[in-house]
Amino acid sequence: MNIVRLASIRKYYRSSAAQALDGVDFELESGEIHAVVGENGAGKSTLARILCGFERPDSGAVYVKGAPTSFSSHRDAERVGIGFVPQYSMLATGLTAAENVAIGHEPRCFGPFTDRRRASYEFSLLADRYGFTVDPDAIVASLSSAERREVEILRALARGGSVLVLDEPTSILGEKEAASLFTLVRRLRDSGAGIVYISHRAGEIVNLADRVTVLRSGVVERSFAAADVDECELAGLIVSGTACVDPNARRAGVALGEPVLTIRGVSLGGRGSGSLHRVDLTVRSGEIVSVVALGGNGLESLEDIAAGVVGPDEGDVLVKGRPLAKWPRRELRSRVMAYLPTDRENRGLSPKASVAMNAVAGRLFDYSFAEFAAGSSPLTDAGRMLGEFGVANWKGRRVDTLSGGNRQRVVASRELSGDAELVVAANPAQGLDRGSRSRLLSRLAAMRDSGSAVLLLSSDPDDAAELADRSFALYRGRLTPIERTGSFDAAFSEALTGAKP
Amino acid sequence: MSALVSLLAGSLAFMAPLAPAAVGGLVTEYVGALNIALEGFILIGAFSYAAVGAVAGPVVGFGAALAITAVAAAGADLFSRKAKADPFVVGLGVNMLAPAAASIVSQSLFATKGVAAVAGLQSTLVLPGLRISDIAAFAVAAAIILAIAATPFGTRSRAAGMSPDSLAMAGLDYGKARGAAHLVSGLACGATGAALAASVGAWVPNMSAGRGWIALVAVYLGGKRLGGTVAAVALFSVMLSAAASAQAVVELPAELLLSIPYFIAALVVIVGARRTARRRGT
Repeated sequence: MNIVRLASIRKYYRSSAAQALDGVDFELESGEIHAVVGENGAGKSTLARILCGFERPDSGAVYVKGAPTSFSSHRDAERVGIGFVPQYSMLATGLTAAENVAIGHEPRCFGPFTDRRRASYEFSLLADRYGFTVDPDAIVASLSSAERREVEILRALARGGSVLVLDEPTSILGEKEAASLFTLVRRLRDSGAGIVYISHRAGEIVNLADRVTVLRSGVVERSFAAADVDECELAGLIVSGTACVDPNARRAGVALGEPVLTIRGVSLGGRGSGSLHRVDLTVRSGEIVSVVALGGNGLESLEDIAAGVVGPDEGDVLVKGRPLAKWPRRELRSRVMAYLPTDRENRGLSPKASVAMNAVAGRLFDYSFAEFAAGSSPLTDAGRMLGEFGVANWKGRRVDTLSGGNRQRVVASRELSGDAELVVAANPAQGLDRGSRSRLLSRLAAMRDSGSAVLLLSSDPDDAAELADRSFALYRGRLTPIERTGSFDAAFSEALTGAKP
Repeated sequence: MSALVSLLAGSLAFMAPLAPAAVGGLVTEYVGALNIALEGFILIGAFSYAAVGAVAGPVVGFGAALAITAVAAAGADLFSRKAKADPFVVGLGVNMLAPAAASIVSQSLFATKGVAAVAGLQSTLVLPGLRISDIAAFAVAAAIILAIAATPFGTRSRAAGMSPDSLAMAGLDYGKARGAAHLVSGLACGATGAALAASVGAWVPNMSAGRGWIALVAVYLGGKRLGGTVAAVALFSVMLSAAASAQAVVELPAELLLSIPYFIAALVVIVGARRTARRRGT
C-alpha cells in the first residue's frame, strides 16, 4: 500500500523557461526510504515541492493513501502528515527554536494569546523523542548549522510525520552529524514512516535507501531497488558519463614556492564556539591546504579572515607579504585573490543581475566604455567562462532564476577563470552534483599545478581527502594538523570532534 | 512643581496620538514592508472622526476613524501587492492623496477647505492633558502592543519579515501576513487621527503636523523593537512638550526648538550605524 503516489506530474517554470517535470510518476510506500537522485536541475526539488504542497502541478494527480488529493498550501500536506526538510535553512532566525516549530499552530491560552510555555514544552517533548538536545528557547541565529537542521527536522515531524521529505539534508552537515541523521532516518522508516531522500551522494544512498528513482531532465529514467546496485554503478547513473575512478590524481612534484597567504597568531572573538584562537596557517604557491571543520567550530570566521571580510582582533593576515587590509580591494580581487564564498547568494553573486554580468563582474575595468556599451565582448567572455563550467542556457537570464548548483558554477566561472595567485575556496562543492564537483575540484588542482596557492575550507572531509596536500582540522577555533597516515578518516574524525585517542 | 506637572501633562497630550501610530508602524516594519504613509493615514483618521462624528457623535466617529483608516491601509497594501507596485511609492502617493481627498470631501461636507469646527466633538478632559479620546488612543496602542508581544499575530509578523520561507513552511501566506500588519497600522493611524481631532474638536487641514514621520523615526530610534519604540515615543513626547513650553521662555525660533527631537534621532541613528559597522569589522 503506497502512502503517496504522484501520477504523470508536469510542471513548467515560466521564469526560467524550463520544463522542470515532464510526466513524472512516483510512489512512496510506508516503511521505505525512497531516494530521488539526479543532476542539478533534473527536477528533484520541484518533485519535492509538489509533493509537499508548496507548488501545484500544471497537470497530473497526487494520491494520498489511494485518494486523489490536491494541496493548496503546505498546510494541506502537513494535515496528511507530510513534513519537509528544505535544503537551505528556512527558519526565522530572530525567533526561538520552539517558536519556529510552533508557527502556524501556536498553542493558545487566555483566548488569543500564545502559550509560550506550552510551545517550549511541546518542543522539548518532541526533541526528546528524537534524541535532540536543542534548547527550545534559544534564538535560531545563535544555533550552529547542525542545530538549525535539527530544528527543521523537528518542524517537519511536529505534525504527524507519516511522510518525511528531505532535500539534500547532508549538504551542510559534517560526517558525524550526517551519521546521526542517518540513524534517525532509519528509525523513522522502521516505525512505519515513508521517507523521500533527495541527494546526489551515491555513498549515502547505497547505505540508506531501499529504492532509488533517477530523474533526468524532468523524467524518471529508472526506478529500482537500492540493493541491486553498488556505489560505483549508482554514481554513473546519477551523472551520465562519469567514470567511476578515483579523482585523486596526484601531481608529480610541483616545487613549493613562496608563502602567498600567511595567517599569524590570529584571534577573533565574539562568535561563541566559532571564535578563533591564535590560528597560524601558511599557504605557499603550488599547494592546496585544507581546513576541515564541523558546523560551529569557526570555519566561517576563518573564511571571513582569509578573504579579508573581517579583520582579526589580534595577529596578522599577509598576502604576498603585505597586510591583507592594506591591499586595494580592486587590485586584490581582480589580480591576486579568487574567492568562492560559502554564502553564494549574498556574498558571491548579485542575484538580480544577469548571469553574464555576474560572470564578468571581476573584470569590468578591463573593458573600454565602447566595448562595454556594445556588450559583445563582455558577452563573449561570459560565454567562454561559463562554458568552462558547463553553465548552459544562461543568455538573458538573471542569476536568481538559476538552481543552486548552477549559481555556484557561475561563481566558479568568474573566480577560477583567471590565474589567481591565491584561491580561497569555502565549501566549493556544496550542493554540486558529482560531475560539477569533480570538474571544480580538478580545476582547483590544475590551478595548484600552475603555481596558485589554494586554501580549501570545507565541512566535507571528502573534499580535503581528495585534494589537499596538507590538512588541518579546526575544532572550537583551534587548528590541529592532520598527519597523512593510513587512517586518514579516523584521525580526521578525532580532530574534528575533539576526541582524544 | 507646577512646571513639572504641566510638562508631564503636555507629554501625555503628545504621547497619546503618537503611541498608536508608532506601534502600528512597527508592525509593518516587522513584516518587512514599512508603511511610510502613516502621516497620510493619520489625516484620513482625523477627517473620518470629524466627518462621521458630525453626524453620529464622537463614539461612532472614533470607531469609524479606526475602521475607515484600517480599510484604507489594507487597501493600499493590497494594491501594492497585486499590482506589484513598490510599497514605498504607493505610500508616498497616499501621503499626497490623503490631504487632497480630505480637502475635497471637506468642501462638500463642511462647505470649507479650511478649519471645520464641529460642536460636541471635543473630548472632555479627565486629567490635565488627558482626554477621554487620549485614553481610547492609549487603549488601541496597548491592544496592538499586546497583540504583537503575546499573540501568534506578532510572531507570524516577525517571521514574515525575517524569512517569508519560514511562513511558507507553516503553510501560511506571506501576503496575508503583510496585509494583516497593514490593516493593524491603519487601525493605529485611525486612533491617532481621531485623538488629534478630538483634542481640538475640529478638522484642521494638515493637523497631523508630522506626527506620522515622528512615529517612523521612533520605530528606527527604538531599534525596530517594541520596547525601544515605546521608549522612543515617550522620549519624543517629553521633548516635544518641553520644546513647546520652552517657546514661552526662550528667545529661539519655535521651528528650531521643535526640530531638536529630529536632530537627536539623527544623532542616535548615526552613532548606532557606526557601532554596527565596527562590530562587523569594517
